[in-house]
This record gives sequence, C-alpha cells and structure tokens, in this order.
Amino acid sequence: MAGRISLCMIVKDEEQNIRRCLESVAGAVDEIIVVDTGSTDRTCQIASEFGALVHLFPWNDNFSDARNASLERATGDWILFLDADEELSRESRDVLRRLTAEDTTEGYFVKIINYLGNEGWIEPCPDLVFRLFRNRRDYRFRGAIHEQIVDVILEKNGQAKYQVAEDLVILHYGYLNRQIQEKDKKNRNLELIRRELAAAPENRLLRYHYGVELYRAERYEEAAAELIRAANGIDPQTIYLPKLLRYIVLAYHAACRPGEALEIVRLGLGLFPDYADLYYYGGLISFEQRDYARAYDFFQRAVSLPEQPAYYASFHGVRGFRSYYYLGQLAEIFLNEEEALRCYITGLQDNPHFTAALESIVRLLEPHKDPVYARDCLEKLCDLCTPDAVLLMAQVLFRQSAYLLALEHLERVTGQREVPAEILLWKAICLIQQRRYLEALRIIDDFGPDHPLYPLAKLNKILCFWLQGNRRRVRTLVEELFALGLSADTGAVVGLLRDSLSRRRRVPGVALGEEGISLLLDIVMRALDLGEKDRAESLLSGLSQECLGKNARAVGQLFYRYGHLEAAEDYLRLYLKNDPGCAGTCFTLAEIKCREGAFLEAADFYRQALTLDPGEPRHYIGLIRLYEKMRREILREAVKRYPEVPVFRELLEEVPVEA
Amino acid sequence: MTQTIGLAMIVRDEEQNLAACLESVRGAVDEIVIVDTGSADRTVEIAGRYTDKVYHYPWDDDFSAARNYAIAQTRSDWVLSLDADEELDTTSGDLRALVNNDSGYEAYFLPLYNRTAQFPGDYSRFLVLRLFRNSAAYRFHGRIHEQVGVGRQEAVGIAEGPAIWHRTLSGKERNRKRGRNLALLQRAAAADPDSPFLQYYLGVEWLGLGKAERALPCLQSACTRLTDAQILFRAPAVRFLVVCLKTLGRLDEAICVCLEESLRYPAYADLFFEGGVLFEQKGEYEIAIRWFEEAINCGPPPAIFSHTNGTGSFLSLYHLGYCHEKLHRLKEAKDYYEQALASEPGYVYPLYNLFLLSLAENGPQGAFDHLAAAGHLAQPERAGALADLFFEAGYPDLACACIEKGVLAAGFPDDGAARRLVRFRVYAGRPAEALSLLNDIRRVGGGLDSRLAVDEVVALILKQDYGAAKRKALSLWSQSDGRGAAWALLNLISLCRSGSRCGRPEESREAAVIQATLAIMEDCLRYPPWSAGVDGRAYGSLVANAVRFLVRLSPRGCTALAAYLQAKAGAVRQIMDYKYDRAGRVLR
Repeated sequence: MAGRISLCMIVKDEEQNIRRCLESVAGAVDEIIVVDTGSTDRTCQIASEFGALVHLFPWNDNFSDARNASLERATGDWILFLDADEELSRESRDVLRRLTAEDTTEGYFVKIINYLGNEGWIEPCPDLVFRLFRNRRDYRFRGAIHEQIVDVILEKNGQAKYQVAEDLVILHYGYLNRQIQEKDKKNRNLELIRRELAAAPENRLLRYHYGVELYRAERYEEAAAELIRAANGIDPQTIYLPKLLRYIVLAYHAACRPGEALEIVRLGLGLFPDYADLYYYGGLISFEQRDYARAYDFFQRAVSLPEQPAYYASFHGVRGFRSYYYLGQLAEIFLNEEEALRCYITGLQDNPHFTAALESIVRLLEPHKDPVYARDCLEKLCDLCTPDAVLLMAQVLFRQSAYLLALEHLERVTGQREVPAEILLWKAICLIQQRRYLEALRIIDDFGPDHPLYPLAKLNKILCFWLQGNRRRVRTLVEELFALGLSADTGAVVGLLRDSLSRRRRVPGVALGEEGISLLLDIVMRALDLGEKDRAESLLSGLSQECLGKNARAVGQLFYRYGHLEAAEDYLRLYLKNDPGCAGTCFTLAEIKCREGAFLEAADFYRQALTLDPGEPRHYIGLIRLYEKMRREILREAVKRYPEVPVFRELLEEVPVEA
Repeated sequence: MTQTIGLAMIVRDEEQNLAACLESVRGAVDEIVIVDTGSADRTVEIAGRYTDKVYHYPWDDDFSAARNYAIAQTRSDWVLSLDADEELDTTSGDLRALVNNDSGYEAYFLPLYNRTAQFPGDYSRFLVLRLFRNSAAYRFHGRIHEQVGVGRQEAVGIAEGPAIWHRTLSGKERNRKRGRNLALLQRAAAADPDSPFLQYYLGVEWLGLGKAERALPCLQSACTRLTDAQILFRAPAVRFLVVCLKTLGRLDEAICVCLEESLRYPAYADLFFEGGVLFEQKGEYEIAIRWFEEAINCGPPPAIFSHTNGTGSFLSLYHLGYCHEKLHRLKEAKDYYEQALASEPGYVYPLYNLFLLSLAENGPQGAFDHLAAAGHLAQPERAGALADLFFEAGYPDLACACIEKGVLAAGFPDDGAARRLVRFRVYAGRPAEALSLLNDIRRVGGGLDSRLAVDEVVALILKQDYGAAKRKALSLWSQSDGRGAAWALLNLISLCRSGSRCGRPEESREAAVIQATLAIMEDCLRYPPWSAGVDGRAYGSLVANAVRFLVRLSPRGCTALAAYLQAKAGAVRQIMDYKYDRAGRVLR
C-alpha cells in the first residue's frame, strides 16, 4: 500500500519556473507545501493555483531552516523535495508510487539530470541526489547551504536503509548559464559557505562544496587547495569522491598546473578505473602539453567505456563527441585525414549540434578545391531538412571560404524566410566570389548609410569593381568610404586597394596593424579564390618590406593553399629570414619542395623543421613519406633503365601508393 | 715458519694466454709447475721462460687426473690452481697473508670474476676453491669441472682477495671448449646420473650453446637436488634456470622461480633484479619497479652467492629509469639514469637513454645544453659517446661541439678525439677546418685509417678542390680496405666535375663500391643546412651525384639505394614509435 506523498519546496521569485515544476507533479503527490522566503512576484499566486499550501518564512540566510519549515507542515508518509527550477520527469510518476510502497527503505537517492549550457547547446549531466525520504519528526535538514539530510537520518536511525533509484528522474534547469547569472548564485553561495565552514572546519562535505563554488567563481588556486583538503584522508566509498576528484583536476587545469592535474587523474583512475571524465580530462591536458601518445590513449579509453554510473555525474559527451573530436585532432596532427574524418563524423553523429566537428569535416573536405565532392559528402552526412540546419551549414561553409557551396545553401534559405542582414551580406560576398557582380550589388545597395554593416557592404562594393579592374569606380567609392571616417588600418587597406590599380607606387610601403592585416589577408584570399593571383600580389606589393616580412608566413600559406607554389616559396623564404626558428614555415617549404620533386631540398627542410620542433609528429611523418617517395622514384627509374630485371616492377607494386 | 705457495696448472695450446697468466703471479708464488697435455703451439716454450718445472702428461679425457699429476710435482706447502685464461689480481688481497695467518683454514675460496662485456663494471662474480694445502687429502675429483674435495666445511675460508679474473673468450674459442666439455660431461653424467653438479654443468653448457630446451631439465634437476649447503652451485643454478626459462619465452615460470627463491634468499639482489627484468619484459612496469627497488635495498649479496656486479646498484637503477620512462614519468626516469651513471661511470647505456629522452623533449640544441649543464661533457669518455650519438642522430654540428667544448676544452689532447673531430667537421659544413686539423694530426706522425681518408677526400670535393681530391682518392686505392671507396670517390669526383662517370668497377668489387657510396651519401645527409655561414649546395650536389651514380651503375645499385631509402624511412619510424608509442603506430 503506497503511502501519502508530500511535495515540499522553498521558493523566492520563481514565477518563471514554478509552473513547470508543479505541473510535473500534479496528481503524482498528495499535498504540496510551499515555503516562500519573500517573493515579490507572482510565485505565491501560481503555487496556490495548483492547490499548494503556501507559508511565508522570513529569509534568515539559512536554507535548512526554511526547508525544515516546510517539513513541519507536511502530513504525508513520504517527503519529495524539489526546487522550483526542477521538475519530475513524466516517466517517474509511476515510479514514485512504487518506491513509496516499499516498507524497509528510509529514503532514496534519485537521479537528477542537470542541464548545463555554455557551449551553444544544452547538455544533460546526470547525478544522484537524496530527495525522497520518510516523513519523521526528527528527520530535519542541517547546514545553511548545500543542506543535507542523509547523515541526519543515519544519526537518528542507525538501521535506516537507503536505496538508489535511478529510474526516478528529476530534471534540473538551474545550471543553465542565464539562470546562474540571473541569481548571481556564485557569490551568494560562496559567502554563505565560507561562514558556515568557519564554524565547522571539520566538515568535509561542506569544504567540497566550498571548493566547487570557488571553482565556479574562477578562483582556481584556492579551489584546488580547498578541494585537496576535502579529499585528504577521505573514505574511498564516499559517494561524491568521483566528482571531487574531477573538480580537483579541473581546478588544477584551470590554474595552469597540468602536472598536478595529471597526477590526480592518475590517482583517481586507481580508484575509479572506469571513470570516463578522468580519461577525458587526462587526454585534454596531455593534448595541451603536446604529449600526444598519452592523449591518444586517454581518449581511446574514454570512448571505449560503458554507460557511467549516476554518482560519477559524468559530463555529457566525454565518452562520445568530445573525445572523438580530440581523436580527430590527433589524427590530423599525425597527418591521417581519413582517420580524422572518421572521428569527426562519429562525433557529429553522437551530437548533431556539435559544430566544431562539422567545421573540421568541412575543412578536411577542402570544398574550395572540389566543391562537387564536398557537397556530396556533406549531403550524405548531414540532415539538412530544416532551414536552421541549412543556415548553419551555410555559415560553416562560408567560414571555410567555400563560397560556391555556401551560396547554394544560402539560396535555399534566403528565399524561404527572413534572415539577418549579416547573412545577406555573406550572400553578396559569395556572389562576388562567383563573379556574379550585378546580383551582389543589388544586395549591397540595399544597405543604407545608417546600417551598422554599411561600411562592410561598401567595401565589398569596392571589391566588385576592384576585381574587374575598374580604376575609376574604385577611386570614387574609396573617396565615399573615406568620408565615413574609417579606422587607420581599414583606411590604409582601402587605400591599398585603390593604389594597386594605378601604376604609381607609394614609397615607402604601407605598414598595417593586426586589424588591417587580417582584412588584407581576407581580400588576398578572395582574390586567389578567384584565380586573380597578380591582383593579389599587386595589393601585397604596396606593403612596406618590414610589414610584408612579418606577415609573409600567412601570405605564403595562402598562396600555397591555392596552389601557387613558387610564390608561396618566395614569401615563406622571406619569412624564414625574419624568423629562422619557425618550424612550421620550414615544414610548408618542405611540402612545396616535395611536390615540386626537389627531394633533397625537401629533406633539408623537413630535417630543419624536425630539429627546430621535435615535438610535432608531422615533421617525422613528412620525412618518412619523403623517403618513401624517393624510393618509389628510384624504383620507377630502375624499371625504365633495366626493363629486363623484374624485381623493380614487383617492388614498385608492393609500395603503398600515396593517396 | 713462512709457508710457501706453488702454482699448479695444466695447459694445452695456450700461447695466446699463458704469458699474461704467468706475469700476473710473478712474486706471488714461490714455485710454478706447468703440465702440458699435448700442445701443438708455442705453449711449452713460453712456459719455459717462467719455470724449469714443465712436465708432459698424456691427455686421457680426465681433467682431474692431469691436475692431480701437476699437484704431485709441486713441492710448496700450498697449492694455487689457475687456468691459462685466468689472471691473479693481487690488488684486492695478498696470497701470502692468507696462507700465513693462524686461522687454521686448510683451503680458501677465492673470488672469480667473469668479464661479460667491454666496460670495467660489467662482470659477474663466483667463488672458487683454488688455494689449498698441498696434502694428499686434497685432490681433484671428476673428469670435468673437477673439484677439490675438502672434507671439513669449517676448514675452508672465504677470501675477499686476491681475485682471479677470467678473460673473455672469443666466440670461436668458447665454442671449441664447449664442444669438448659437453662430450666429457655427457659421459660423466651417464656414469653418475645422481650428481647434481654434473647436471648443473650440463645445463650451463647447453645454455651456452643456445640449446635452452636441452638445458632446462638439467638445470631444473640441479636446482631441486642441490641443497643450501651447496649454495656455491645452487645460487648460479637458480639464476641459469631463470635465464633458461626466459630464453624459452616461459616468463611466468621464470617469475615463479624468482618468487620462490627470493623467499628462500631474501637478501639476494640478483634474484630481485632478474624478477624485475621479467616483469619489465611483460610490460608490468609498476611491479618491475618494486622488484628493482628491492634489489637496490639488498645491495651486493654475501660472497658465497654468485653475483652479477650492479644488480644491486647501477643495473637496477638503469632499469628503474627505463620502467619510469615507459610509464611516462620522464623526470623520475632521468633521475634514475643519472643515478646509474653516477653509481658506475663506466656503464654508459643510461647515457643513451638520457640522450634520446632529452632529444625528444628539448630538441637537439636543447638536449646539448641540458646534457652539458648536467656535467656529462666534463667527462671525456661521455663527451665522446655523446658526440657519436649526436653525429648518428644527424647533428654533426653538435657532435663537434661535444668534442670542442667537452673533450678539448677540458684539456685532454687526445688523438682519438681529434680524429673524430675531423670527421664531424667534414659533415658539419666545416671542411676547411677539418682539413687543417688533419694536417696537424699528420704533422705529429699519425696515419689515417681508410674511413678518415674517405672523409678527407669528401672534404676536398666539398671545397671543389677536385685535383687534390683525385690524388688522395688514388692513394686510397693502395689501402686494401679502401678500394671500394676509392672507386666510388673517383666516380663522384668525375660526376661533380664534369657530369660523367669514369668507368664500371669489376663485378667482384661492385658490392664494396655501392656500400662505400651509400656511406658517403649517409654522411653528407647529416649536414645541417640551416647552420649559418656555410654553402650547403655542395653537399646536396654530392648526394645527388651519388644517387645518379648508383642508379646508372647497375640494377644492384638501384636495389641498394631503394633499400637504403627504405631503411631511412624505417629509422624515422622507429623514433616515432619510441616517442609516440601506440598513437604513432595507429594514426600514422
């Protein structure tokens, strides 16, 4: 026979949330006790609508007192405790009845799913909490914050039996960023716990919570110290130990102490060898330390682990898309693009909202080189049936400067619905990159002088004419743009555009700051994308030698990306003169020389890259591939020179041919 | 009254060893008795220079009989028994003091050191009964691995010294002796199947011949039947049993032996060391670490236990470094390697690991700075070893620096170091300096080996002094081991100068020519093109011409070149595997 159930809650200014909470328990509990600690909104009225008994209780900086006030008034056999920003999952209503029919149990740990959301999508993170227990006079909450009742019940009733009921699920929305900020929970909690901890310095659990709050307040060093104190000498059975360990790792990591963090990972895995979060963070930290061998092992373990027990409070995705993303990054670091794609795709399938994986996939498909192939792949991979998905894809493609494909996607959405002005401007840019200048200009001319994007639109208008070599129109438009009042850097770039079309050269050349360079490189890239190599170079020739030298690496990489090997080599060699220690530049030069068939020079550059930075796997792999390529060349020549010797042909067939 | 000592030995065909042996006992004994069992070489003549008491004894496949005959000719109060391939080392103790004290001992165990490799600290130690009263009671028994029987254990003392050093035998010599021993032993064992000693010796001989499966039953039987009273034999028997099981890949059984025996002999470092090595082989590094730590806690065992030097110290320290390295605890790994080096400076292996760790972590220049700061360049031997390592790893500039800042700066004007420096400089982009140093070496009268002669020609080619290069290459032809290289160089000179070859070597010389060309290529590819102030094109064109030469030479040239490139790729791959472990293999 199921007992009667009282829902108890304490609230303050929860009109945004309380309706959702009470709707979720309607009919599932037998009475509702709401203790209000001073709402100034409609919270009490809404509670009354659901038949709640509402009591006012003046706030005294103590959560337990308020909670106990609600318990005092409960008449049921069982107490279910919820916060206003929580709800009972639909499937749990029957479970609740079943659990309260149990005779021998004094209380239940139930599963709570915390919704966290700081990365653009909402992610569930399960944990266990003690929220359902028998209503007895001496079972009362203790502690001003992170109030606890489990230990109280045990004190009063040594025989008390608890159970874990993972099928009773509470959904908690309180961690969503917006709400955390709204309530300024962090500072309130910190101050309360600090005071309480001063009174009870031996309270381990309280210290743990204090450490967590310090971590949330981004005081990482202090957080690590408090959490370590909480962990010293702890009983390994303690239910929150896994979480505590993870917080120590996080705190050390955030405090830029990777060595300590990894040591805790090691210790933690000794206690909980199947705890995915520790593998994930171990991998992450090793990855950042460029210890790729270890990072790989950690992430591999993370993705191979089974469903995590609820008390691990495992973060969403550590066994899935998060680890796969890093496995993809690792594969790229080892120049294995096929494996990288496989990892990113697995990650994306695990979480379709995970844009970082999508960006990487698009990048690896090199849509600027082979748009048709990239389009086919992406269509197979992604479900593009909603306008939102199409728009997202368009944005990703645009950011990867795949203008043709981005345009196709934009055209699919811009016809159907209102899109932000920025997206329209992107469409215009994509049109320019297809040399569809008239259509582009139609969009651009819709931006009036009051629009915040007007200068950018205007700049693109200049580009339309600049790409066509229309000196006169460019000059007029540049004057108009100057009249708006531009930043020094932007002005200088615009001036370069104008001057690049005239035969006169300004001496000395222009020196640009960071903002100007990034704008200039964007224009150079777009020119290269259109095959306008000379125009790009004429633009660059307006730069001062010093400024060009400093940025020659980025310029060289761009020329390399668009297949202009000789120009790329010139820029990269120029850069190397300024910064002889740049391993990345040596590596690109090696790749260029290798593609040109100048193997010995390539070998020198690979070796130089390796010498400058022995921590980069691609430097080894480049050299390995080069030797293999040279060997193939030798065998090919041997086949030609000595056709009567069959062994060379056989050897050549054995050699794996490069993709 | 002062006691006299006589050396009694039996010899056959020992002209290589005998003089050194007899020199070592000069002044330590009063009498030398040598019994020859049928030498066909100059043994008897050499013996005659040291003593009048040279006798002949017809060999009858019985070592004891021959030895006892030698003892019978000895008139002194005490007998010292040595083999011709052994030497007495009196620095650790005085023979006369042993026989003249009033301990009442009738015989002594002396430590016998077996040198196992080339550096000073690498040896193992056994106790052997080789000094005893000249009395009819003490005679050799057994046709082979004959022992002196002393009835009363308490009459035998254990001496710290003098020591006997056993020479490292050449492989050929060793196998000759093994084959002879085995036949004798098998006969003896057939006659006396219950003797655990014979089983032990049989096991050792089989193991030495690489037949572990035949050694195993002998060693197992020896270990079972030998008692702690025979610890002199039982201890090495146990260790050989472990080695035998390890050779057969039966690691778990070997570990069981170590476990059991370590309970029986808890202070026996060698057992803990062996156990550690076994766990290490299984990849159980954490457990291995505990075993090695225990070995170090033990320290060297009591003298009656056969013992490999270093198992209680530098060897275990080295392996501790290795295990920590495998567990990615690089700091601990380095600490242990440093400790190992400090504990036995002659044992240089830890330096290789330190070098690789440091290279992987800090890059070549960083590694150099780090190793210099740790003081390794201050020791000429280590600086030389490091120079070689840097050169092999492709950093001849840093190899030069090791010699220049290490060996030379420390004030060790050393001909060997100077020669190395010549070679390193040639390929570090400093051919002119190499040539002038070479002149200095010549001036003090040093000749060049063929490799250095090749380096000299290469330096001349690099300087485009083709006339001199050609002259030197032609003179290299007169060195018998330099002909392949001379051919290669003459062709390279011709190709560099005019783009044409000068001819095809005869078929029989082709392999040597190819090998020499590849060696030159390999050395030129070490050149660091990024080092300042050198024009690297000369190296590049030399390599390109070497490739051209080999491809045009013959199909064999092509095959060798292709194999060389495959090996180059393989070498880089190996570094990657070392550095990136599984990730490198899976992702590459």
